[in-house]
Amino acid sequence: MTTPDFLPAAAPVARLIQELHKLPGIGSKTAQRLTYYLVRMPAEEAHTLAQAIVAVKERIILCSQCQNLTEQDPCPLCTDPARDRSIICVLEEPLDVLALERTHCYKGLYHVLHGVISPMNGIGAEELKVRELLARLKDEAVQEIVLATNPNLEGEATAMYIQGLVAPFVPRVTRLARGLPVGGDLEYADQVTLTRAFQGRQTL
Amino acid sequence: MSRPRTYTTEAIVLRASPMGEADRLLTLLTPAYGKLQATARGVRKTTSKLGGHLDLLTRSSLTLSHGQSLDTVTSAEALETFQALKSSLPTLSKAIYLAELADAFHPLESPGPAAYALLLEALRALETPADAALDLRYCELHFLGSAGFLPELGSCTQCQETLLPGHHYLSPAGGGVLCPACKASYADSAPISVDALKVLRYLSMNSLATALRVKVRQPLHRELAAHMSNLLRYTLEREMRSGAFLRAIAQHWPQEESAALTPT
Repeated sequence: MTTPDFLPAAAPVARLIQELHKLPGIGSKTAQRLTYYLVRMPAEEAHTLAQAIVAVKERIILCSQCQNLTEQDPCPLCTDPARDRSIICVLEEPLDVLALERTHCYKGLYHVLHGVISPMNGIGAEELKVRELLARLKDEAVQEIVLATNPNLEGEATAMYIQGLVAPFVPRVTRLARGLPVGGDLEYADQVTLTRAFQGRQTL
Repeated sequence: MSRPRTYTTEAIVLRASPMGEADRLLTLLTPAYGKLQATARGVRKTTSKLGGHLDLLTRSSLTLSHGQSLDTVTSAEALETFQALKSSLPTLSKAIYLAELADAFHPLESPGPAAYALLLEALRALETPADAALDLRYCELHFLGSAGFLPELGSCTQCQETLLPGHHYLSPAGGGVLCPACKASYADSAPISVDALKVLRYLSMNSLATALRVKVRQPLHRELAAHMSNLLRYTLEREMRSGAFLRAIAQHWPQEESAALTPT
């Protein structure tokens, strides 16, 4: 990528544009627009934003157990006595924890891998928090691992890989069901989803 | 007359990376247009009607609309999803390796019916359980060939003499085999056994189906893998990224892999 030329802007402005341009999904035009918005913003709001960014970098750590982002170690989810410690749900990203917590249907523990096996990008199991998961299995009396990686090729490959590694230590390894999304349309479903939905049909 | 706004093609999805809020940037291999990059909007949402048709290593019938820099997938229907090969890690790791080969050796927007046919045939071969030990070597050799880098295997690349029985050397920098007299011309020349040379010649001249019937013993298989790996590294100027995963799976799932390598 070529570095856009921000020379006409004053040095601090050009620097902010360049910093914002590094963020995912922010092109040079968006970076310029955001910068000029920030310049016109009340100083107090700008400080709050800057402090929030600094706080995230300074105070957020990874939970030594579930590897989720947290302010205290172990994180509140791992220390909550109400949660079922015999079941661990394995997820790709911290955002997936939020998605599952919103459902209020799962009361077990989590384990965040921080990525997915992506051989073509050179990302293997060593780059993920797989070793940490295996270490947890040796310490805790876990009865079930739920593999909740995304239902795409890389997610499936990661699930198969982890299944092979954890199977000797856990009585039950499960995978989230694949099927039709709520609000979807049957005629637009692809063959794989429909096949899986059919295979996983349930008695009413 | 202005060109139509959309076009249809079938394609195999080679790469997919997240883009923006819920989009994906796809690298597609097509028979008529070669390798394309295109965006697929909203496919990471669970309600996306395109998502399931555009997973990696899926052959789909696509409609794309021309964009300023990138084309956009507007409709997709999966034709082959290769579920059998995706349900086992050893075959899946091979398929991912093949996709990286196709991606690495095919330039953007240059028609490639041969590369497309080769990838499709190799993926279909992976679908049927067989002890196909040489499928990857065959594809490596032919993808090299499709990009114009097929190594010379018949005569010495330096003195052009036909090779006589005896000791030979393979040099990636020299572009093929060297006779003992010329081996010093290239620093990277490595000894190649007569059997390995014969197998490579056989692979380069035959169809995949014929090549898959060749059975080789473990030491010869390792020699072939090492030579092809050297050729790929020299030509691509990098390691194959999915090679590490391929080797890790071969170690973790030894029973299936060793069955594939057992000499008959």
